[in-house]
Amino acid sequence: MIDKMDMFSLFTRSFEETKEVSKFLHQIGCCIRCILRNLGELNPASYKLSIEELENMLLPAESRTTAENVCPCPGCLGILQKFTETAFLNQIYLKVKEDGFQFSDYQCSLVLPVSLIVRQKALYIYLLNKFGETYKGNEDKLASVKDVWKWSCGFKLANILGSRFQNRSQFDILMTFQYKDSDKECAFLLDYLPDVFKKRKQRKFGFETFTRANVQKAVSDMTYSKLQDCTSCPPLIPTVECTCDISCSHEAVFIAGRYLKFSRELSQTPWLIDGKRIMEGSVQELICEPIIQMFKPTDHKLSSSGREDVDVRMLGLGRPFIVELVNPHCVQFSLEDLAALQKRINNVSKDVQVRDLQIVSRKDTNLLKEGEIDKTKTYTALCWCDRQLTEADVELVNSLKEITLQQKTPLRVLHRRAAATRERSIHSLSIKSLLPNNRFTLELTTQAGTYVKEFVHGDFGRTYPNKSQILKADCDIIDLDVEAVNVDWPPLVEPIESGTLKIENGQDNCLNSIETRKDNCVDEKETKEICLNENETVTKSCKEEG
Amino acid sequence: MIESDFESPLPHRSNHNDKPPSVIERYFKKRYKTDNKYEDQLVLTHSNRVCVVCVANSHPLIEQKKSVTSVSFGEEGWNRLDNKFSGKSKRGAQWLDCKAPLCEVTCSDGTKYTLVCCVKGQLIEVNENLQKTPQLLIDKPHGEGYLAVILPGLKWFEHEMKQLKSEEDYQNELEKRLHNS
Ligand SMILES: [Zn+2]
Repeated sequence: MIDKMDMFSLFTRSFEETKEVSKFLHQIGCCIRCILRNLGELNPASYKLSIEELENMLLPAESRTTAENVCPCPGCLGILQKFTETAFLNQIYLKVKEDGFQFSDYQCSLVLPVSLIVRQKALYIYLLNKFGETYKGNEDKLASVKDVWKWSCGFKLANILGSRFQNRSQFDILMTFQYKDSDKECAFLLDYLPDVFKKRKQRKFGFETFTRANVQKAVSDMTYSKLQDCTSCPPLIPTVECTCDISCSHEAVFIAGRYLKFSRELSQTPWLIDGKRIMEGSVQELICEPIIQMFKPTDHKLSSSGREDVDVRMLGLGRPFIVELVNPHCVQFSLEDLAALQKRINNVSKDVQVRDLQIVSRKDTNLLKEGEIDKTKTYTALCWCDRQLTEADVELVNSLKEITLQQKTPLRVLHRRAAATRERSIHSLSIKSLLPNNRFTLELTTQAGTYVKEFVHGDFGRTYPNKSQILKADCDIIDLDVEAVNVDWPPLVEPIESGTLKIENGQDNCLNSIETRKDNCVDEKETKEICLNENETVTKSCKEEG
Repeated sequence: MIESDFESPLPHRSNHNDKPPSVIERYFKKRYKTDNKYEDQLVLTHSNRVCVVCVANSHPLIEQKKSVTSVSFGEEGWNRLDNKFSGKSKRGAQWLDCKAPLCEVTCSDGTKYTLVCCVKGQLIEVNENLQKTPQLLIDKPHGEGYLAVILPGLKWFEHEMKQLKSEEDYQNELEKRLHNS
């Protein structure tokens, strides 16, 4: 027994003293793990020993645990006793299984009753009073209940779950311990620091008076003698047991790709007004539905590098997007699985096709947002002019470079966007072909945030200069296509049938060859506003132009 | 370089009409404010409630192809240029009644006309180009020569629209005037 004790590294200076401290802690009702941690043991391996093994080492035979004499420990409220038993770990297993999560490793988080903070300090003061020198200055050197739980159960639970225990994992098992008397045990703080605690008895704090942070601060600011006057040292044996809620979650997974849209009657997000659907389907739904079926998240969100209007097609390499999958239940997929997913999405509808589908990190999602600011876009517009254009007109237009526009917020979005005059650039402009009936196609590359439709028809002269003004004849836009959203992300994925799916990295691809920039319409947030604002009646044409 | 995997399956929508429907025809409804002095005005209402206030073709300014020498957005007691506001809610914008004066137009023949707001709402902008190029008012009355943009409040919107005349009623009114003269 003495030999085995050598494996520990304790505050106590002799075996006798260790026995003495253990006896006192046992007398006030402490469990064997709380005894060991209050002796100063910090080695995780020591806590893998069973309760029996630890008791055999630290306690005299007559005071060892029997089925009858177990009360909740005043040092851990039973969290290191009952809640470390196989029966409890099996409950966790059942919960994880019931929730249907897929994971290869796991972490666990414990939320402990707030009054444990008071109890821990009271326990320390008790030991300091009894054993003086041995405990002086050691208050912060004790293992926490949380750590000891993980050291005791992490690997055991891993075996039950058939998974690896990690300090950091995407999959989290959260145990929230409720202790009915927690507030009661903190109540003395209301009188001691009324300024801090009484004002919290309000709705805005959810009537949560005592939080981990404010109790921790109050208790560490209190002198030992003051705390001793206010609360029982040592802490009393709890009269009620804790209960525990178990919940599981998986960190968000991000799927990136590019989408193409071939329909002029398809909105990017579900188009609802006052809860009523205005148009069937949406790019978002067509893309997300198969992804959701595969990853089974509890929530999801599509964001993209700008968006096109309902009547605008998205061609070329497509528009970069990310789908954030919140709390996905299934995550273990191969590159081939993703290629198959892409195929499934592309089979849903001819109107929307995706490419370069891949899983990306949360950090990489910033690249989409960064790209938002300085990207350029290339468009083809089918236009009309009220006179026949000549070769001279073509020459004039094609000679223009870097046109700076003063663009007032277009009338069609003025109801929900701030009124302003914004400076925007058309980087290049050329008439590609002259067609019958005064029609022509115009190719243009613009800065982020340029409204192209308004550049063509002028929006009552509110975009200046505009096409009508340049050609000195009324112009209008009939159709608009986005040919390129010049963002160099996500990486292109070479399509594969099966086997190897290669992601190109560091490529100097076609994206760089075209000049870049922001949407001619609205961003993601504003789309939501249209779709969700129930007080506002927005009808079709406000989304119509590009 | 990887080419796009997809060919564009749709050709451009082909519309073989000579002239495609105009911006006004596509997105705006025309409503009129008529007046016993025939100083009529046109309000173009976008489906998002935004109103563009213009001079109607039957107004003496257009009817008689006047030459405009100045457009003033402020006179004794009112100034539509002093209109600072911010944000999506346009907080701070002037709230104007339908009869409130919007601008005063002076012509080379010495005649003066006061044009009004026509709808009760927030003044979003006045067409400042008219100060430099007043003739736009005559040359492009329903385009670059618009007068102002007003956003009627959601609550009054229906009411404000009802007190204006529809295209049909306006045409009837013009007919009537022909018979009376
Ligand atoms: Zn304990």
